[in-house]
Amino acid sequence: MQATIASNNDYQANSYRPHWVREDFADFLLAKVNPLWTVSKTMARIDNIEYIEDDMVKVTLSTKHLLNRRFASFKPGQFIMVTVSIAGVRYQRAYSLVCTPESYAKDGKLVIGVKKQGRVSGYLAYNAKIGDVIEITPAGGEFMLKDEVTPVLFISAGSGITPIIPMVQEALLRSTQPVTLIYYSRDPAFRTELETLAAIHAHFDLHIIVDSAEKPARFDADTLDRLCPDAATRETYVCAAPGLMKATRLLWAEFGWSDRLSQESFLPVTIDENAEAQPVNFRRSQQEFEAKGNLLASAEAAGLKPTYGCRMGICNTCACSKVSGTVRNQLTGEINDQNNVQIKLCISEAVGPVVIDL
Amino acid sequence: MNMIATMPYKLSKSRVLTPDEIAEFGRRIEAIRAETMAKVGEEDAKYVYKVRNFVRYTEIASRAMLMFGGWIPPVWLLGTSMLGVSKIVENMELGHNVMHGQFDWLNDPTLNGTTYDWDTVCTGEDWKYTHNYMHHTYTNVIGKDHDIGYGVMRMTRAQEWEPRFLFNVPMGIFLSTGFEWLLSLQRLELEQVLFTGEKTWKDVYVQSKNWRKKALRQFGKDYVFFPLLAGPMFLPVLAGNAVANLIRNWWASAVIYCGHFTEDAEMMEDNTANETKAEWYLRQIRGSSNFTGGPIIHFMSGNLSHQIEHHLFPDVPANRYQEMAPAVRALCDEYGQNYNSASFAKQFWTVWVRLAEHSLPDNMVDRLKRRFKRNASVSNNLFKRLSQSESV
Repeated sequence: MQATIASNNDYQANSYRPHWVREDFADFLLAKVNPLWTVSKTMARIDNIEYIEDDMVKVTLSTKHLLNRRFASFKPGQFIMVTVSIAGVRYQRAYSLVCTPESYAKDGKLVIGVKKQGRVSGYLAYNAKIGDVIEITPAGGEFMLKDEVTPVLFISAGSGITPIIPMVQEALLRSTQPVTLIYYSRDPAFRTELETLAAIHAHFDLHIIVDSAEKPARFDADTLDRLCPDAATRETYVCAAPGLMKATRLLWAEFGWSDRLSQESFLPVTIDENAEAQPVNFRRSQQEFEAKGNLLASAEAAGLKPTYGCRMGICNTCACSKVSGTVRNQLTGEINDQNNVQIKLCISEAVGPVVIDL
Repeated sequence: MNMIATMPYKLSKSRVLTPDEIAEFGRRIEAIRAETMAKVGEEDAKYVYKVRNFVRYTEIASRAMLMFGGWIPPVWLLGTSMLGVSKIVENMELGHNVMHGQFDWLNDPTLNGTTYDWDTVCTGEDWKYTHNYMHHTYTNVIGKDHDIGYGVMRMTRAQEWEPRFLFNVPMGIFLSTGFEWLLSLQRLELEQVLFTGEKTWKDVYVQSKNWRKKALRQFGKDYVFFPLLAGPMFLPVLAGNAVANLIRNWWASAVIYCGHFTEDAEMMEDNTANETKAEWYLRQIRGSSNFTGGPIIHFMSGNLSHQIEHHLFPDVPANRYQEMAPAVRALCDEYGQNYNSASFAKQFWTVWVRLAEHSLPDNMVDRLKRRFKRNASVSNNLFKRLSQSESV
């Protein structure tokens, strides 16, 4: 075991605040009266669960309630984190809001589109009941329309359509500049909503492309030229599975349009078998293991169970202090070699031996 | 290969292992851990939430009793002892274990090891440094583990005798009584101002910023806020809170003393730079001691009655230590390692004997022991002769 004693004073955090009243204690008391009442969290009640196309469910949540720290508002394209408790363990996942800020302002309802796969989504689709109270977070995420009003192109596939729905509506309402949506799906969800929009707004060009597992559609320069010949003049937003994301990224780079492309990924980062193994030391739990690529996934592969949330660098649940060593942010590629700084395990990769205060 | 530096001053009850044996021993320990971690899940989640509710309900009930019925002696007594129990369980079975990250996998920010702060003066952050890191990494390493006598008591002959150690036993009692406050000062290493002159009081003031905030909160809560809230019940509440804190201090320190200060708990020379993980496991076993008892003892000690298992597996949920113990014990027996376990009373007694023994210079203790032995054999012989003469 090699560990050097960190000097006593390196380790004084300035931000320390004792809990004058423990928030979880106050929440515990308030929840006895009404489960929506809380001082530190955002709670929401499930108002409706509706099964729709493409193996998805539309979950309607209401948050407006006295003594519930009110959900402020959001921008189209943003998501909320939903936390559910399964077998005593809390799991969290990000869901894009498919409603618009205007409809939320009117009725106080948030709508998310949930694909029936994975732990949290499966729970919401099959186990959750109308009337249940679950924890959510304020809206987050950087995937939203840029302020500058320009013609817009949206490209989406499968459940990647969810953030696009309110973005399309915002783009259509804010100007009469052309808006095009290319939407690949085997069983298009939100089809009626989109077709209604296309019927009302002359400047909305809607292309729903229904493909199948046997004959998957391909996106290439020809397709783009055919469906949106003036893509060069547009701000483009893509939310889809990794294949389509990569295809658009390469194409836009080739044309030199990369600065006008925004993407939203909804898949977590995982172990990279090709990465070089690095020794990682969890100092407080006295555990050492070899990490290949992603730190969270590697720790779990080594039998450890650190706290985690979204697994995609959003929610900060897995944030912890890196005592020493160098890590790379897997989303931005940024290298962090400072001591005693906060990192998020789920998007960090060790590039040398690392000591973490966990 | 480096062996564990054994104590030259006292014979170890554990056999010296070959490097291969040590490595195999380490693998076997890790197998026990893996087997348990595979089972950790819903049952443990339910358990820890139940413990937290126990703490909450007992705290509400006891504070209410003191506030409204504090003037009736039996109610005061019940409220005070219940508050003491509530604080003990919060500190030991909840706070201590949560701050080790044992329940991080719940993904619950209110039970997360990095943010939890417990109902005692020591800040969670300072505790994680002095306890989780320093004490658990350098367990019983002389010169590195400050928990060996907390810098004020002499625990082993490897520590040079000084006249101040004449007060070993009163110091142990004093530390026990003010445990919450004295433990919270550990991070500030006041002996560096008082004895060695490595820093000044001004340094201490700067370094104590967080300590001051937490101390104000703890003092304010138990000795100002709740007594004032009680209005006419000011004095009973004040006294009840003070006694409850004292109960907690005595019990918590007793559990901790029994974990590392017992007769056979070994203090070791520093070899940490060359130590393998397997050797680290061995050191944890040699430096720790368990005590036996019923389910209430285990619950009230935060399962630190299984100090050996806790030191081997600090991040495994403590409610699993009881079921891991037989496997650890069997492994220790197989490898000739002393598994230091006895009743609470017995372990507690050896702590004070050890403190008393080390309060005097070594040669004086040896002389006394020899004389005591001689006297014992003289009286034994006398007894034998008497009994023989009787039988004749």
